[in-house]
Amino acid sequence: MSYYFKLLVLFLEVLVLKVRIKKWYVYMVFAAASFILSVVFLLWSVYYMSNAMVGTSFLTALAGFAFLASSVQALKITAYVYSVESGAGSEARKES
Amino acid sequence: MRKPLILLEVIKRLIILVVFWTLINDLFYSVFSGRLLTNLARIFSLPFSEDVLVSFLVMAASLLALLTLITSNYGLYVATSAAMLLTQVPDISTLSLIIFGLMGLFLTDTYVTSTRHKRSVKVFVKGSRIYYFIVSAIFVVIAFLTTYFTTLYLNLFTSFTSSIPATSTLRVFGLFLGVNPVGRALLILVAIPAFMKLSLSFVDAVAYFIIPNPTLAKSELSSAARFDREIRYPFYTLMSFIFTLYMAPPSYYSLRYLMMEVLPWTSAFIGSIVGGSPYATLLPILAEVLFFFVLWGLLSYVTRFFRGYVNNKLIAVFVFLATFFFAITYFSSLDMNEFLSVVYFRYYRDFLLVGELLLQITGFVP
Repeated sequence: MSYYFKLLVLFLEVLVLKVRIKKWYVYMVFAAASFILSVVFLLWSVYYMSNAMVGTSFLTALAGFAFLASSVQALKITAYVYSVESGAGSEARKES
Repeated sequence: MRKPLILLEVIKRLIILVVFWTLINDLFYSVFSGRLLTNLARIFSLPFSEDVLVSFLVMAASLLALLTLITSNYGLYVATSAAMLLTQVPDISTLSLIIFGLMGLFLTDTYVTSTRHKRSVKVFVKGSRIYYFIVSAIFVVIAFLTTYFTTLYLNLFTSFTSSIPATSTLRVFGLFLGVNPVGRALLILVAIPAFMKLSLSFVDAVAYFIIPNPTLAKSELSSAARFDREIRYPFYTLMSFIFTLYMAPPSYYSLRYLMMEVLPWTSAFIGSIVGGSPYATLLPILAEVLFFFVLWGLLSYVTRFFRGYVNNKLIAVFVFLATFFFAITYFSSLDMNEFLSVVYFRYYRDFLLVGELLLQITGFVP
C-alpha cells in the first residue's frame, strides 16, 4: 500500500518538476474527480429512496456528501495554491 | 466607510423581510383585526386540537420573524424557518426562498467582516467599474445555483420518501420523513446547514480564483489547512452506544446462563429476595434494561481511552473479536447466525414491551 502511494507521489513530482505543469492542476483534478463521485453517489441515494431502500439511501447520501465536502475542500486548497503561484509569477516578473 | 456598512445592514433586513413576508404580514393583520386576542384565548382553552396547535405555531413563527427582522440573528433565522416549515407542508418556492435568504445573509456578512478589517487585509480588484459588476454577478449566480441544486436535491429526496409502496414495512418511516411536517422539517434542517457550509467554502474558493491574494493564501495554507492531523472517525460520541447495541444481548444471555445453570445458588438467592413482590414478572425485563445501561456506562468509560482516533489497539480488538466469533462458529455445532438473531430479537422485543408499558402508564395508549 505505502509502496503504491510512494509511486503516486513520485509520479506527481515528475509531473510538477520535470514536465513543469502547474501545481494547482493536480489539486484541481482531485477536486473534479471527487465531485463527479459525489454526484454519482447523491443520484444513487435518490434512486435507492425511490426503490424504498431507506437505510441504503441514507448511507449513500452520507457517502456522496463526504465526497462533495472533500471536493470543495480540495477546490479551496486549489484556490490557495493557484493564488500563491500567480503571486510568485508576478513577483518574478517585477524582479526581471 | 460608515455608509456602506449601514447599507449592508439594511440589505440584510430587506432579505429577511422578503423571506418572512407572509408571516410578518399575517402578524400585523391579526394585530389590527383583533384576531390575535381570539387566538390567544383559544390556545389557553383546554380542549387541545390540531387546529389550535397550528394557529399557535403560526403566531410563534410570526413573532420570531419580527424578532429576526429586528436583530438579524442567524439562530433566530433558523428557528423562524423551522417554525415556518412546521406550520405548512413546504412547497419548493418557500424552501428555495429560505435557502436563498440564508445564502444572501452569509454573503453580506462576509462582505461586512472583510470591509471592517480593511486596514489589515488589503483586498482590491484591478480594472474598471464593469469588472465589479461582473464579479458581483458571478456571486449572485453562484448563490442562485447553489440554492437551486440544494432545493432540487431535497425535493427529490422528500418526494420519493412519500412514494414508498404501501406494502413496504418502511412505509411509516417514509411518510414521517415525506409528509409529516416534523419529519420533513428535521430532514431539511439537517441538510441545509451542511450544504450551506459547503457552498460558503465554494464561494471562498471562487473568490481566491477571481482575486488571487498570495499573502493571505500563504497564511491560510500554513495555518488553516493542516495535513498532519490524525483521522477522527465519525460518530465517536455514539460509539459506546453502538457497541452496547451489539454486545448487550449476547453478554446478557451468557450471564443469565451462568447464573441459572452453572451457579444455581445465585438465582436462588435473588429469587428469595424478589419472590414476594407483585411485579415479579416484570423484573427480568427491568434487569435487561438496567444491564443495557450499565454496559453502556462501562463501554463509554472504556472507549474514552481511544480518544476518538483510529489506532492499532482498536484494530487489534476488532481482529480479536472477529477471530473469536469465527472460532466459536467453527468449533461448535451452533449455527451462530440463527442463534444470535434469536438472542437479539428476544432482547430488543423486551425493550419494545417496556416502551409500550411506559406509554400505558402515561395514558397515551389504552
